[in-house]
Amino acid sequence: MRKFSIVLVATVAALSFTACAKEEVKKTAVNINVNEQAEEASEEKEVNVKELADKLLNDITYQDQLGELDMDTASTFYTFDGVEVEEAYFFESSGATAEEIVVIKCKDSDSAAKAKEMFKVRVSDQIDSYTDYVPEEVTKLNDAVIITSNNIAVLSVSNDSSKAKSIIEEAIAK
Amino acid sequence: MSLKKRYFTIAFTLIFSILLSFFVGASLAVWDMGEDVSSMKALILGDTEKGPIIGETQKIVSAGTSIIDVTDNPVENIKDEIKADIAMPEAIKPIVPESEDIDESEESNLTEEVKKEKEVVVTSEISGIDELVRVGNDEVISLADQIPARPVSYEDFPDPIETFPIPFAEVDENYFNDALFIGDSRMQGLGMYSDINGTFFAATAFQLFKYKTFKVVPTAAGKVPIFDAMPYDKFTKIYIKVGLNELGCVSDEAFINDYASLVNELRVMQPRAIIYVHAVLPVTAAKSETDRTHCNENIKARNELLKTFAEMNKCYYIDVASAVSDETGALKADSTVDGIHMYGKSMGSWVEYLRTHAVPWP
Repeated sequence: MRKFSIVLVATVAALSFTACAKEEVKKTAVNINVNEQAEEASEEKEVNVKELADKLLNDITYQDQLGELDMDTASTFYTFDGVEVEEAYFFESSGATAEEIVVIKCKDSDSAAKAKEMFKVRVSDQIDSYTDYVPEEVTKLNDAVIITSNNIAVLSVSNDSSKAKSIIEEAIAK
Repeated sequence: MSLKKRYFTIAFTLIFSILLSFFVGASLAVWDMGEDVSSMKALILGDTEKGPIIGETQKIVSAGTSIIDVTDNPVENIKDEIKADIAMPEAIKPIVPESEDIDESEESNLTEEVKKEKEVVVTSEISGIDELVRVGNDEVISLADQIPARPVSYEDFPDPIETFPIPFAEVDENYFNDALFIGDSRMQGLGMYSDINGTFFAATAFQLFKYKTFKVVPTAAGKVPIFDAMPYDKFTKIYIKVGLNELGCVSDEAFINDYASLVNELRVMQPRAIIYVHAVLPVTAAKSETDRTHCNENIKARNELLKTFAEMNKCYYIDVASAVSDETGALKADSTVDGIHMYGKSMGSWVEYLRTHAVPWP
């Protein structure tokens, strides 16, 4: 019994000496903390996507200077697979930050749902890129705002996700 | 229990504990690193065929196993007749310095991540090159014997290597329609905010030593590395802009080795293309003062290296830095948000420089 106890204690002690598995920095966006909200409005509301994009651009203070891109240029880093776009506005950073604004009026709610998935992929890719490049930007990406409502899909990455969310909700609820 | 027996028991327990902890620890290490037992054994025993050494594994291109072999290449539009017409390049072996040429102090520049990703077989022979001189002594690697043979089907098209050098001239915006731009976030910014109608394989955080694996080009299946998305013989001009993100990560020697490797692969995939070695753009004076790795002194030294490499390997060095700098040679302070990345509205002088310093090429 005594010998057994000694062996048992030795085993426990040995296991305590073994190296712990190294914690890897999770570079892939496994746990994107995305503020998502999908509202199914009780009735169709016409959202002025241009006004919404401008409000997100002007009413939030950005660290970077966002420039407007056309659809063709945006297609070089967004894959609009199955997303049928009627009207869209893209504001992107200089590369120094991950800040961006995308407001899309899709053909229907199915397209908007696909746009939401496209935004998630975009945010995930950006997290991969910025984790080692500019790690401070990952905080903004983890707070990215992705909202869909009927045929509208919006992505906002900024220092003020709360304000972005309220701007979008106000526009949708008008 | 007798004293003898007691000592024996204690010794046995101690030895058992040590062996058990070693076994469990090794198992955890194997699991954690994602390796198998044979690889770990090779690592521990220093098996050079398997163990990681500085440098980068590069694919050997040889007749019959070319990197344009359609079974390995995702490009779908390579027709059989084109493939048959291609004069397969002779074996292109990686330019890897002998281990004794590697400055040990430079080895410490490699980050752990780079060390993990790189593995090279250090060879005692460097074949195919008549002149290989150590980078850093004002001499660079010559690829003279490694330039692949030109496909015979393109005899009616100027040879980008045989015609080198052609003086720069002014071109119009259509010149860039069949141009490929490869590079980092600043190159990506050029693609986003300029009116250049070329193809951009550029991305934030792109580093040359990762060009084979770094996901850059968006596709329906997600982002892929540049050669996974590169069509065969589509571009007649290629602009390469790298060099800033690699500062402090790899030595000049490793950097220029990777550059040579990239140029070699591009020449096989785009046999009609001239290659521009784009200068590393400067950073602002303020950024240069606070960041002694990505500072203008290092950038200038890197550009000298690139210029020499370009001249020796029949590529066109393009000194865009002069178009975006102030009187001190630093990036203009009002053109950038963080001292590095330029505003979209500031790209005009960059584009204008490219347009007025171009090789007249079909």
